[in-house]
Amino acid sequence: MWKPSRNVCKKIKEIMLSVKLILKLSSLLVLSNNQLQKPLLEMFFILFSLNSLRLEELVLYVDYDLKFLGAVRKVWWPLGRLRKKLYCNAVCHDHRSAARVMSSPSTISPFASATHLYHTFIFSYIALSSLNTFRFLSSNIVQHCTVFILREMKSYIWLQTTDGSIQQVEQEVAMFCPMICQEVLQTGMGSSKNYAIKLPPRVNPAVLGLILEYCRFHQLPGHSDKELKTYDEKFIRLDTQGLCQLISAADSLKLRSLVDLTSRALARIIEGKTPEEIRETFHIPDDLTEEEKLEPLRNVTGDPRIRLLNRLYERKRKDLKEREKIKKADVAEELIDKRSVDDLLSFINGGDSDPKRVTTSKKKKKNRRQNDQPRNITSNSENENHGKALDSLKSESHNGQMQDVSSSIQASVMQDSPSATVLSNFDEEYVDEEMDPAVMEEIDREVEDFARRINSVWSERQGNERRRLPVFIHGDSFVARYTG
Amino acid sequence: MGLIFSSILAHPDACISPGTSLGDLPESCVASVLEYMDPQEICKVAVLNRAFRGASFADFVWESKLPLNYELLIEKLFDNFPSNLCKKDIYSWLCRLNSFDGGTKKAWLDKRSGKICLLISSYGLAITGIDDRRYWNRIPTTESRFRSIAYLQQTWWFEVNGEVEFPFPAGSYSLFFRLHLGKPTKRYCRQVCNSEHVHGWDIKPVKFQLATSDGQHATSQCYLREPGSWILYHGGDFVVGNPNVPTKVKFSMTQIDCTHTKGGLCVDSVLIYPSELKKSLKRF
Repeated sequence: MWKPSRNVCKKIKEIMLSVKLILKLSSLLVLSNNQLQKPLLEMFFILFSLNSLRLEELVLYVDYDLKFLGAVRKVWWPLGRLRKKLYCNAVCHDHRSAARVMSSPSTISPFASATHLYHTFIFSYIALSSLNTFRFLSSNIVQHCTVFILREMKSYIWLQTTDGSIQQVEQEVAMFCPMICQEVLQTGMGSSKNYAIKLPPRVNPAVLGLILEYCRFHQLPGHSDKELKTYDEKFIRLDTQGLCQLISAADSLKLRSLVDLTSRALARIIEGKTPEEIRETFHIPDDLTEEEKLEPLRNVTGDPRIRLLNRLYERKRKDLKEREKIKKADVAEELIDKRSVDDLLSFINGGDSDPKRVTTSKKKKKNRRQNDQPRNITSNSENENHGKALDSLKSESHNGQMQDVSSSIQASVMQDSPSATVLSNFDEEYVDEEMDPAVMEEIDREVEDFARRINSVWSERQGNERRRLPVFIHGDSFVARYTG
Repeated sequence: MGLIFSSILAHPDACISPGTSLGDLPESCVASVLEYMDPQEICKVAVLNRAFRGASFADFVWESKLPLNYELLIEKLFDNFPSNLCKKDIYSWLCRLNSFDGGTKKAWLDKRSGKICLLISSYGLAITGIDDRRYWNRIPTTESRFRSIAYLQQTWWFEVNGEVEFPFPAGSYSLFFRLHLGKPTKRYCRQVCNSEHVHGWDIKPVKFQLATSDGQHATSQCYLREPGSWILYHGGDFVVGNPNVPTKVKFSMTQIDCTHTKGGLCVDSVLIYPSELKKSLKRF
């Protein structure tokens, strides 16, 4: 029998003397038999400290405390039937390390037969730990082993949901949830009714029941893959609300496999539907503000389509802002419209020019139209009144500002060729890098054409009826403004 | 198990508490759901609400859509790629028609499936006699992604070879030659096909061959037919096992029976396409 090195002894002692750990683990075993307590306690130490011990050290540790092994004998012997299950679940890859364990001096000890299970246990752990995925497997193995040991003790973990109700759950079922397992191991809670583990708010009693059913089925090691698959498919046959509750509860309990299962089911439900359909079916409120929707897209790839889209969004945003400003201004002022018919008409004549630009709605100029509106606004910002006037042209109801408007427009706009003047205004002030001269010219030509046509209509009308209002292509709001 | 579900279904009110629906899911859950959806679906669904929008930018969602060896692909296709991009942007970069090898080849990811497609222009092929203007001409045309095609007037020895070395992600790929019988011209601003000089293709078939660096071979024969339309002639399939090593693919198309002349053929490009997506390639 060889003596373990000083370092190993030191390490083991450190671990065993860790007071916190003892307390935590003993709270776990509070219901267990006194006789079982010490060896099981030390068993836990082995489990949790295995991560920090190297393979050779582990082998040495097996021999270290024969007294411990003797005590374990009483525990392990009746648990012989668990051995078979351990074998089924352990995948033995590393025969060399297994041989090392088996040939260690402790196998000649008088407790050999009784500790066979213990060795099997360690053997399977060593075998598994020699795989590359040691780090990832180890916590699962710890859980798994814990479950095996504790099953015979039939102990329960107490869980408390947000509504205050406390229920007890078999330990192995509850420990399947990583979050509960973590709580138990780190803080030692859950061992009695008074120290029940508080579950996260998203877990209500009904969905907790569902999750525990899932855990109960999945933590049993004897199921084939096909059985598990069939169970999962049946399990997931819930309505969407149920699935949503399930996924958020499973997410808060960190039960990754259930989260994946539920996500797949939800994805299958959502896919193939348009956003409007989804919104309608599941009553999702649209909490993105208009501004957020018009946020410029990150054009990392220099895609010209995204560039144009961003420009369009910019215009729409400006538009939005102006509308907001006007709405605010509205609330402040409320004057009565006392103008004469003549004033109105002259205003309409003068105001003609602006909507003309707006109403050039050729298909490819759709973008441009958006341009026009803010352009109207921005280019006249120097003349504040004029600017306000144009704003009111575009917005809904404010008779109030008409008075100022009509006078200012009359002042700034000539009667005979209103379109030309306003056009020249626009050409000078507006600067848009995307408008190349050819496109500008085309728009100018169209607008002039239109202006000419309108003017001829107007002069005719002025003779006949003074009160008749013009009907423009996009003048819906325009008309409403003046009839109102 | 039936008992469990019946008990749950018996108390429907107990199951469904108010306030939990698709709109109330936290962003992490939504991101898990998005992982199982197509990229186009993800973008569609991103406008639903704030949680969906945030989740659609999640890196792990897009990383699962990218091919496994995307870093190698980036190295091959781009010279100076910005390093601080999120995975969504990397995906959109790769989905563009990225030119490489001096503009003779283009590679892109298929948006829906995330699989790589490759297009090799006639400039990237070794055509026997391409420099001889008696036999071959290069015609500019809008019918090709590379804006010019190689037109064969007449020859006895018809041979087109090519090879490409590319870090293909694992999977199976099919190779196609995009060919057109007849000379495409523009008459009165309309595309017209001039089939006068098409001859010699119905006497003997054209032989297609394919070989990869890991020893796969494929051979086939086919008569060229249907003058007047662009047809993708299948040149062979190959399977890529190891995505970490660039695969070298050699392909050729030959008709070297010197008893007859052939001509009137346009060679546009060679397309390497994932085999699963072959069905969507009716007209290319």
